[in-house]
Amino acid sequence: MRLMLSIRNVSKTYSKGKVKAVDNISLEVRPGEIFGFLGPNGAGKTTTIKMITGILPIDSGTITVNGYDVEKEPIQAKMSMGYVPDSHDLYDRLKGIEYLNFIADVYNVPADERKKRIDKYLEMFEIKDAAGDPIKSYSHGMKQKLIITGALLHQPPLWILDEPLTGLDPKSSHLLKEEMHQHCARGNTVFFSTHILEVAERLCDRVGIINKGKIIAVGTIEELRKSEDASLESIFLSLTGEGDVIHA
Amino acid sequence: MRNLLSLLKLQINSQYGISYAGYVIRNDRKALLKACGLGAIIALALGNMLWVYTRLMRNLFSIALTMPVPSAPRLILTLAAISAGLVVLFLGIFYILSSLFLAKDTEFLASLPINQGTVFISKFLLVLLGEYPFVFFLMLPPVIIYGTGTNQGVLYYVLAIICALLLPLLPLVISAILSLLLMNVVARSRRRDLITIVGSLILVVVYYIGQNYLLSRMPENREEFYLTLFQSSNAIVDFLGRIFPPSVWITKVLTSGGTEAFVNFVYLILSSAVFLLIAYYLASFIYMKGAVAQLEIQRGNRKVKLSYKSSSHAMAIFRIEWLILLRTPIYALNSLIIIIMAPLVMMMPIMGGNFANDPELQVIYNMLGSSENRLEVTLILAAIVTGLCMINPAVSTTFSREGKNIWLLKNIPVSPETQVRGKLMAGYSISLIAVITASLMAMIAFKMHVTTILKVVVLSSLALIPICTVGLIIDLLRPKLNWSNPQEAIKQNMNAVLGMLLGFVFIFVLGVISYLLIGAGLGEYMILGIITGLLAISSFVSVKVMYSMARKAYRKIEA
Repeated sequence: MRLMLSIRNVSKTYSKGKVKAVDNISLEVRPGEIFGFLGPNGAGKTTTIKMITGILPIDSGTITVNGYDVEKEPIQAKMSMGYVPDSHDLYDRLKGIEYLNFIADVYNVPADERKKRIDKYLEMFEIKDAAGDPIKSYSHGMKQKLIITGALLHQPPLWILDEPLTGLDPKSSHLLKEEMHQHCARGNTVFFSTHILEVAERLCDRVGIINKGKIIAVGTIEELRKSEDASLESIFLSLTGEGDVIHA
Repeated sequence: MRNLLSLLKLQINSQYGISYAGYVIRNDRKALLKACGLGAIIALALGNMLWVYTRLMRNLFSIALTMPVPSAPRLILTLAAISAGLVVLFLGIFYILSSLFLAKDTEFLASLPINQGTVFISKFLLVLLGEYPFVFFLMLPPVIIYGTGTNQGVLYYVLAIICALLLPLLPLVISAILSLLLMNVVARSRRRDLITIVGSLILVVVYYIGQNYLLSRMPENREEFYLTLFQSSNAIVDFLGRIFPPSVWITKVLTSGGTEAFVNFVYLILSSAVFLLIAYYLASFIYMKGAVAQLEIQRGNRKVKLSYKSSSHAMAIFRIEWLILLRTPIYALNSLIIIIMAPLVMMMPIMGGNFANDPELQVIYNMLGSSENRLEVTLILAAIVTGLCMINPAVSTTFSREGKNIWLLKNIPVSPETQVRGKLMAGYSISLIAVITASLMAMIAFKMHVTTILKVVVLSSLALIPICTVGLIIDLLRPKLNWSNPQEAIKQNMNAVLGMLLGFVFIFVLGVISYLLIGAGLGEYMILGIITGLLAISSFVSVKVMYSMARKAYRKIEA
């Protein structure tokens, strides 16, 4: 079976090898599933996501997206994914629509589809009226919605989101979760990191828990419950406190 | 006072990265070695520039020694002080505007329980500190040449240091007062970014027009004026000093002695102190209003028709570069505006006023227009135009300016080769605009023939390809991405300095080659052909090197 995301024995160190941010992790994500990537602060979630998206180089191991090696075939791999980072750093001086046109240009969104898709998401997230304003004037949540719109324009097979619900109002959170479901229903995959365990519990088909750079548990919520017989929160707390690995 | 010192300490530490440098020295030997290597390259390139400048000053001093007026040699001090003053004034307006009003720490500083006048002074002193390297670079060689040439004592050197420290004060204070007034007008307007850029442009032009008016205003009886001018070096010093009066005071402090030196020293200190006090009191009332206004963004309240135009990958990057540059006042002022204004400011005295009709200038016009010196004129002018355009830091800071947004460039499915092409095209197009405007200004100012100007445009445009490409490579290899203030990315970025210095070395080498070719007695078109060929080869090689390095360098950039 073709995997949408495959991480094999990947490691990443900082400070000239002194700090191991990600330590020999392996993970597989299948097409059509919503995969939640959980872990406490500083566990290595963002570093892993940045390696998947080609922002950080990989020290050792391989990552493939939609069958493409992110290091050897970076353009094809990047074409296969849409990324929503945890920070909202954007070109402040551009207008929202200019940013989206730029994204549509670089992801080769066909001219006849561009307007339709841009309008769809701008209207869905209720930021169409602000699209002609500079991004500098946007609130935190509006920037998040703009980045989400940009990430979905080319309808990526793999949608990666790093802490996507931070800063969104309840209505936008609901819309985003709905869109994540819809995206998967169209045969695509969602991979997202979160701190909010209830969201993971309700939304994810499978979750992976990372702690101190190591994957300590992977499986469906039910599978994890079987091994721990508790809520996801207590599983999470117990695992990240003990550091034992659960093979579900 | 305690607040001022704390604030100044904090800003110096942050701007020059002192704590960070300490951390690197302790923890990262490799980075330290790299920094030392970079320092050595900069020192070498600077040494080259210093050598050329010192030679020029020494020649001027030697010529002055042969003049019938005994105190003529001191003119080199006046000329150096004028140059330093003008550099400070010209760059100062942009630097002051960027540092005082467009910096990102305004919000933080506004929240502190510190008087706005104190915040202003701390920022002003920070800018002043940044001007000293230019001032000392320009003042030191003539001070030493004059000092050793006329056997001056220790007091002369002590006074020279004090004068050099005081020299940038007055032009910077004037820039600060003008900026304070401009930004208060800007605070009342809707389109603040645009008004800031246009307003600062008008400010510079008006200032220089005023200065040129003073300089070109001649007395009624011209013959008598020229007679006095050439009989006494005081008259020449006073005449030139109209451009920048502190240059006269400094010259007299260092060369006159006795009461005259003392009186001029008092002038220098008093004028600086009075203007600084005016600026301080003005700032106490209006500084924060202008600075905080920059934080307020007004959202459009009408529906705008959205455009969905598409373009190629490289063009998309090119377009984004231009849009951001034009809409960020710090970037626009320090790249596009500065390189268009620099030749204008330099050539304004010649283009307007009574100077343009001077018999001496007619001789220069004839010399430039004659066919005898056509090749030398073309080469020298091409070098000057290229040198002026080289101060454009748009290419050598193109990755640094991305800052935290670099994640986007690393994440998009566009090859690093295409990305560097888009960025090079954007930065180079700015330089190209500057080449054309500077050449046109030279054509008007010196009444030069159109074919000469066309040759200058071709040579300079070609020369700027390798210069821009090397600048881009430098920034690709060591981008300064961790900044909290856009000014740090463009104004306080060593990559911009390094790119400029290497560009200067490149022009110097080409100058030496041209000199040797002329000496060998080759024909004009043969020499121009060889130089054009060399430039084309350098362009081709540098672009190839850039492409070959792009992928590996991109991988290493860590957001």
